[in-house]
Order: sequence, then structure tokens, then C-alpha cells
Amino acid sequence: MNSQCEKVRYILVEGPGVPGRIDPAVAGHLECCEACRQFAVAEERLAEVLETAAAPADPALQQRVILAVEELEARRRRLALVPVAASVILVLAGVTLMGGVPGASMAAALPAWTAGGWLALAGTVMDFVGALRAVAVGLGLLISTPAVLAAVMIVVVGVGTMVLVAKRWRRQAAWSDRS
Amino acid sequence: MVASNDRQEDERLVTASLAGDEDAFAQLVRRYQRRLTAFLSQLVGDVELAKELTQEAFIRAWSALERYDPTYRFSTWLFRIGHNLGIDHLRRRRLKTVPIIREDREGAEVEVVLIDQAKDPLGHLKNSELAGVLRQAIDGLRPEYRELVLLRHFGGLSYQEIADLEGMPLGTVKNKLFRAHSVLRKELESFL
Repeated sequence: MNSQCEKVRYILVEGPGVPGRIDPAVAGHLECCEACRQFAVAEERLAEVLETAAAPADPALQQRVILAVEELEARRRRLALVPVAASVILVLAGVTLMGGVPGASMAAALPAWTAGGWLALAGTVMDFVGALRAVAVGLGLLISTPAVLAAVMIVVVGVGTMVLVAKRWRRQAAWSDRS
Repeated sequence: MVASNDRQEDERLVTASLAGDEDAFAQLVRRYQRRLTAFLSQLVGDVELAKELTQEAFIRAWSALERYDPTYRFSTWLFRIGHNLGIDHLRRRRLKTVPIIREDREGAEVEVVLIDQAKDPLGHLKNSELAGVLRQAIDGLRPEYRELVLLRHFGGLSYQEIADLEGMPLGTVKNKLFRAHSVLRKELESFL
């Protein structure tokens, strides 16, 4: 056995990259080397034996795996709802503690977003600031400063949680925006 | 070219699965279930257990899909999960039982895996004589050869996928499989 034989035998053991297609260089060598031809036949038979030895596909197992994954996904989504509900409650609690939102003028501003939208928005912000000031004055008599701060914190945490939950709701790979 | 297309198709299916398409993941299950079960059956020597481990491997893959690194092929990643599960199982079993050790042809110590006939991963072979000789031949291989043979011929992984999975240079995989084939050809001579 020369080095060409060894090279060819390594290729034969590895098997053709594309099934049924033999490298022309290998085919050429096999034509003139009886020992490698016998080696090729034995290798082909060995590959066949090993191929038939592999367990056949089990459709029932496939179905079982798919059902298990579906159940897992349904549970994941149900569990993802818990922090959503918690964060909504937190935001509502915080907003309520702060004295509520001046809803009327904000709601009025929303449909006019394109035309006088910016003006309306500025007006709404001013309304909100004014309302906050009034609420703060009012709360100063009823609720202590730490409680107001706690309310603000609750709103911030609630909004933050909602953002995080929204991001987790739909799974996304760390690599998905690499391309 | 075929391997490259397979890889692209796997990546497409993984991306679709992450977007919530469960059918895409079902396709991945269909692509790899048979090969992973075949590999694990030989690794743990029990078809039914291999099916359970296969199911567990797919569930773990689904749960960790967003952490999958596409630098590696999906098959490599999935087989690594399955392989780890199989090895964990064998370790646990070893803690509960006393292993039977014998020497292989080259004098190295090999653990004998006793196979229940009803759960024999080669039990589906019609030629029971061949099944017996093949079982002996595979079990008689040195552990590092045996694992590569299982990954290659039962798991259907390419040499490159095996090299990635085992963290070995490609040349080492080629050499070990070449030697493993020599042993198998000798042992199965009367059937070839």
C-alpha cells in the first residue's frame, strides 16, 4: 500500500460528500488498484450494515415531542402574563397614589395629533405639570413626602417591568440582529 | 453543498421557531429525532430510555433556543445537549451499580454494558446473528472510537460536526474513525 492508496482509503472511509458521487481521482485509482477496490467494497458494505443498524424513525415519539413543546410554550406564555398583570397593577397603584392623570385634556389632544397636535401636547404637558403641582400641594396635607416618592418609584418600576415583559413576550435570539 | 443547504434550512427553522412558529420547530424535530434517538440508543444501550432522553433534549433545546449560537450548526448543538443527557444518565447509573470492567483488544479497560434483549437498540435487525456480532464489535471499540462511530453512523453527523462537538481537530476525527473502521471491518468480516 503506497501513500496514494492510504489517501484514497481515508476518502473512502469518510464517504462521498454527495451520496453516490465518487471523486474522479478516487475512481481512477480504484480502476488500477485491486487491493483498494476490495477495500472500497468492504467499506461500502460496512456503511450499509451500520446504516441498517440505526433505529428507524418513531412517528409517535415525534408527536410526543411536539406536544410537549406546545405545552411548554403555552405554559411559558401563561407565566409571562403574571408580570404583565403585576406591572399594570403597579402602574395603576402608582398613578392613583399620585392623584391620577389629567385625562380629559390629554384624551382631547390625542385625535388632533397631526394638525394642532404639538400645541395640544404642550398644553397637555402643562396641564399635567399643573395638576401634579396641585396634587403635590394637596398631598402635602394628606400624604407625606416619602409616600409621594414611593408612588413615583412604583410608577417607574411598573413602567420598567412592562417594557421588560414586552421584550420577553416574544422570544428573540441574541444573534438575530447580527445579520 | 448539501451540508450547507441543510445548515441554512436549520437556521431558517430556528429563526422561525424563535418568532413563535411551532411548526418550524416540529420540522426540526422531524429532521433530527431519528438520528438523535439512534445515537442515544447505542450510547445508553436502551431504546426506550433513548426515546425519553431524545424528548428531553428537544425540550431543553426549545427552552434555550434564544441562547443557541449559530456559529455552530444546530445539529452539533442539539447533539451536544443529547450527549450530555446520555452521559449524565450513565454517570448516575454507575453510582447506583457496580460496573463490570473488562479489557478491550488493546488492553484498555472498557465498561461492559449489559443489554436487556427487549430494549436492545439493535433488536429491530432481522438478522439476529449480525445484530449480536455488531453489538460486540461496537462495544469492543475503545471508548473514544466508539463515541465517534456512534456520532458518525448512528447520529449521521459529518466529520466537521463531530470535530465541533468533540472539540477535536478534524484530522484527529479522521484518524480515529479510520482506525475504528479497521476494527469494525475485521470484526464484521464474515458479513461484509
